[in-house]
Amino acid sequence: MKRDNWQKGMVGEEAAAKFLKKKNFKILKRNFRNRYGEVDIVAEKNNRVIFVEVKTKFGEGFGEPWEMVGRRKLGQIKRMGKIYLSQHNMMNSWCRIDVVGVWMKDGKVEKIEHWEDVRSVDLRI
Amino acid sequence: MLTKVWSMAHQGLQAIEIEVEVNVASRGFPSFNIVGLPTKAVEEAKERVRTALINTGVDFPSKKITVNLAPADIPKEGSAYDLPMAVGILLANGEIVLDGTKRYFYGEVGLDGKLRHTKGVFLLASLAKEKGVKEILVPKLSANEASVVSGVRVLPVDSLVSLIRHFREEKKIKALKNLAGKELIEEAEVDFDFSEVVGQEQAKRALEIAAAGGHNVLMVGPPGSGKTMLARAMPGILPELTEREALEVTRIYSVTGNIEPGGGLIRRRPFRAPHHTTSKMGLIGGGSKPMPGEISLAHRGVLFLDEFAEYPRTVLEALRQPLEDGMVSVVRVAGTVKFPARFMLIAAANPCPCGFLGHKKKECKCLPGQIINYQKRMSGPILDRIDIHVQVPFVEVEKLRDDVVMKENSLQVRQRVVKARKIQEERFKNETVFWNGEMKNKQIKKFSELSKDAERLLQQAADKFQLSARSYFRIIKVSRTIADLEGSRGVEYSHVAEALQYRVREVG
Repeated sequence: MKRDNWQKGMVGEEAAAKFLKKKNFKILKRNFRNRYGEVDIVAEKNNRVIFVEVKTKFGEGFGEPWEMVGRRKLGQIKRMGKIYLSQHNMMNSWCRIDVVGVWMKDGKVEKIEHWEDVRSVDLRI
Repeated sequence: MLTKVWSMAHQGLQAIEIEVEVNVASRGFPSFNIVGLPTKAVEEAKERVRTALINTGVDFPSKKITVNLAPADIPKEGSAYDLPMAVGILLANGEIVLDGTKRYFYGEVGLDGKLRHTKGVFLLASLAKEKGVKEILVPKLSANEASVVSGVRVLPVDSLVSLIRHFREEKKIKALKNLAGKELIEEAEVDFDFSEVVGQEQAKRALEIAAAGGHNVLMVGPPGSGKTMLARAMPGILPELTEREALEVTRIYSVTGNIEPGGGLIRRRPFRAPHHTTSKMGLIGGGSKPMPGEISLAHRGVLFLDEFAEYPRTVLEALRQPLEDGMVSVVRVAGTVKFPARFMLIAAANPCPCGFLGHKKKECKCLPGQIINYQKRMSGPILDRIDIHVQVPFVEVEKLRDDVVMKENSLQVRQRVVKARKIQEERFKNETVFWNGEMKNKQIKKFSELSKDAERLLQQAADKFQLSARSYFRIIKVSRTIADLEGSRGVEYSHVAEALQYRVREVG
């Protein structure tokens, strides 16, 4: 089951990456991970580094994808983002965190939505 | 991009210029931080400012925003920094451009971008005048407070939209017209007229003397005899505020947020009647961030303490120093704050727990011990600071019905009081005191020449009643006021004789 979910997630991430490329994002890194966590996609557009969290959703239940990214997750992404920037000598870049939601139905991508700069919506996080 | 605008913080009644620096950086993750010892209300400004700007139709930068309130070691309180922060962000965003003129921005912002009534605007205007700042931008609802300060352009801001349009020169905000304080002062609003109080001629006379000389009064009498009514009629016989007094009072009221939205100068002499459960800090002022108490709110006016003996002893004892000095200094770890408290104390009490001690017809049901305990609550040193003690006896029912004697109304009494105050004003032109009640021994010797027989009478009384040195001088002070009411230059026999009636007496 665990493995199952992971596989499904990979399908969603693949779809998200394709979607972003189409929107002229330059993909810098997929699945940037270390012991502190993981960022699904690191991308760049208009001189701004974007850390993307992909949420894949099957069926109707359990609310919207962006609702599944909580404070804790956002904090983790921010921390991972800082690590990424320091490793790549990019500490001076301007960043943000996006969420991409992928809806799946019968093994096919049904819909993709993109929420930009989710952290600015609630800066207390 | 770094921008700077100016605002104000206050410690007690003292205003401090604050520099609000806003830095908007195009690097790192978007964030919004405030530094410079902000308290909760200031910290929450983030949400207000951000939402207000967005609702105004301005792009809120998705960047790293840092706000510094300098000097950084003074704690910043309240919601007044909303406006300077919003202006700083607008500047950094390039929405508006300011010329080099120094201005103060001050006020709370609502989520819709409208500005709310904010306390302390009068203080801001005074600070601007003192520092030579020519222009202040404040909420429209609070702007009237500032209008009495001359030499400062007051721009009443309705909302962030109108502020943006003002600086873009699309639609200028009209500066508020400067008002002369003198024209604003009004007569006191009174609950009762003196003529409504039946009988009690002696008490009325005592209050007239108190009003004329700024003496403190203690009224003792059974329940229902009219003590409270008399005190409430008091504002009606006091002279109107002078312009200088009105400015002092407004300063206190502005800081404490006691000026209603849209209100300006305090136009009436304060009359404060705190309940006897008021805490010591509520009465004197204080708190970890010191705020003025009731005695400061009664500055230049009347502090009426009904049921004087019901106040906790510690609360009453705390009145000693302010009664003497006309101000309180509150010392906290954060620093010392001084609040003016030059008020007239009017106290009312029953003679004993049941209230009927010394009553002509009704019997007092209290035990001697109870009476002693009750009267002990008002300590000697406090009673000693009250110049006029007066009995307010029971009024007989027949008198209530048949009282057809033409009574004086408050206006007539006030005319005499005003005349007496004029004399004192002239007398204390070059002194630090204002009223006879405040005279120190030096001034008493200088201004209260007793006639020969008056001197002899006072000497006799002092021997007979074992008057203390303080009582002795107090009687002279009251005599001086009685003489002033008569328009007499010197203090005569009759004046001292009357004053002797108002000394401390054992009741019962």
